[in-house]
Amino acid sequence: MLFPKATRALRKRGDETGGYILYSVFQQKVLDENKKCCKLYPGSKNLNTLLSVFYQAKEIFEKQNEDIFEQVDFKLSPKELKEKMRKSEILIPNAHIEGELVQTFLASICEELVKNNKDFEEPLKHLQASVKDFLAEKNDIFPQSQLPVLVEKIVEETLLERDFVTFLLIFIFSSLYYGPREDFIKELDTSLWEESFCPVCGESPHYGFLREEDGAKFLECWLCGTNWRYPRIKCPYCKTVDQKKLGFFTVGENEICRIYFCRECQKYYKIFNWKKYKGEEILVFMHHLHTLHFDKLALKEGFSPGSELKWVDKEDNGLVN
Amino acid sequence: MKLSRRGFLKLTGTATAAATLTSLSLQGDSVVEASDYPVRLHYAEEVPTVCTFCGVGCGILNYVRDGVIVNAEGDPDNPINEGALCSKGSSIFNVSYIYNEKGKPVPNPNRLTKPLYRAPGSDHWEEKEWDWMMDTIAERIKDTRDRTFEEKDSNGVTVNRTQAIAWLGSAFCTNEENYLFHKIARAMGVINIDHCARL
Repeated sequence: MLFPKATRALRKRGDETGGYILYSVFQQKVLDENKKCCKLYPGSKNLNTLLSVFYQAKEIFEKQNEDIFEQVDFKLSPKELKEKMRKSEILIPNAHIEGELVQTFLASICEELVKNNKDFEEPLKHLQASVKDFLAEKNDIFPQSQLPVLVEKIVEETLLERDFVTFLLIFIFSSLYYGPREDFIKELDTSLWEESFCPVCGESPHYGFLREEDGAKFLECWLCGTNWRYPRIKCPYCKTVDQKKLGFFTVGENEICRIYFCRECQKYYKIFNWKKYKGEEILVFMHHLHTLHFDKLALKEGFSPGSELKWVDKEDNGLVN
Repeated sequence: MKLSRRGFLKLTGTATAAATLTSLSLQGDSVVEASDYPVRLHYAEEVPTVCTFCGVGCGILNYVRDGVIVNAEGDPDNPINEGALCSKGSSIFNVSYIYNEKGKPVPNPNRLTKPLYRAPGSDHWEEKEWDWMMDTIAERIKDTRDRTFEEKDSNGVTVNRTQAIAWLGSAFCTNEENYLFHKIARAMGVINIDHCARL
């Protein structure tokens, strides 16, 4: 989860379970990680204001709608969970949120953004209208599977950038849906999971990391924050194990972020090498946000995101597509 | 060329809206294009192999760039060492380098990358395919063994052996490989079996 009460995404690297920490502490850790990332990745943007505004909006919304954020009990025994992992069954296959809830939360975020900068008022109005239209078409239900579709629609209809729209929608979905289920998710042991997609929500990964201790590769879900181990020499998308077709590139002197690619299916994903980065706890998603320009380079090199979630455009030619 | 709806919006957008474009983005203004940011991509491949330094047989991931090994680390997916390596294993990629007159490491031009064969009486080595090598070795071993095989010794005792072949194991091979060498040698009747390290 991107911004949960608990710290699923902030777990110690490679641990299968995580522990709770206070919301405010978590927020501070996110901002600290943002600061560190600014230094690590030259050319990345300081997201301090944006993150603070999002937090502020979430805090206000959470106070007004406490019941939504109450933890949901899944009632699955450890034995049943283990069985599902062994059988490669996704735990939550058809996640969806009520449209009204999405719109209220979105309005709360937009309000905070506008408070911060009046210039945002007009484009954010378009954004809300675009979301409203979309939800009306879907009978006021926002299914997880439609997330990339909505990103495309908003990017096409408004002047907002793709990265911001993607981040905003993931933030909303993960906060409203996976946040309340975190108690359940954080107890999950993914060591039996051998698939390339997320055991909790079924999404294809966009990034992951190499564990500091031994270099084991973990993929992490961009939506619910679950991570699971995956073989080093295997494409998570087409499953090829032909080492001649697999590889990675790094950019400049930066040794932390690697773009892994597969020449068989032409897909890519990002892996952060924690052997080259010291820190007790690491928020992988933060590193991803600070390396979106690496995604752009991957697109320019002819690869497409294996997650099917296009965070950036190859080149913003601005007017004509 | 087709003008998209987004393109149209941009064309007709106000200055305010244009300003928002950069503000509501997560990327820096000049991440890729900036001249002071060195956008040099370093491509590499991960090639798994087995360490040759001792009989444990640790898994290694070699990083190969343009056909040259540039680094090595323990293979986390190998059950023997689970990503760990000793100091010798960690520096194994240096084996493929020599130092030039300036003291800088360069790929060793004498490193063998293909099977070489020197025919009996010949004064030079020639490159051969792996298949040819394996077939030839198998044929010659079988031929020697068949020609020299003794079922019984001079006292009439059953021995089922050949004394014309000797087999030397290697400390560069894994314990499991050396075990198999021993088995195949015994199965063929080879009795002269030794190992350089005698671990």
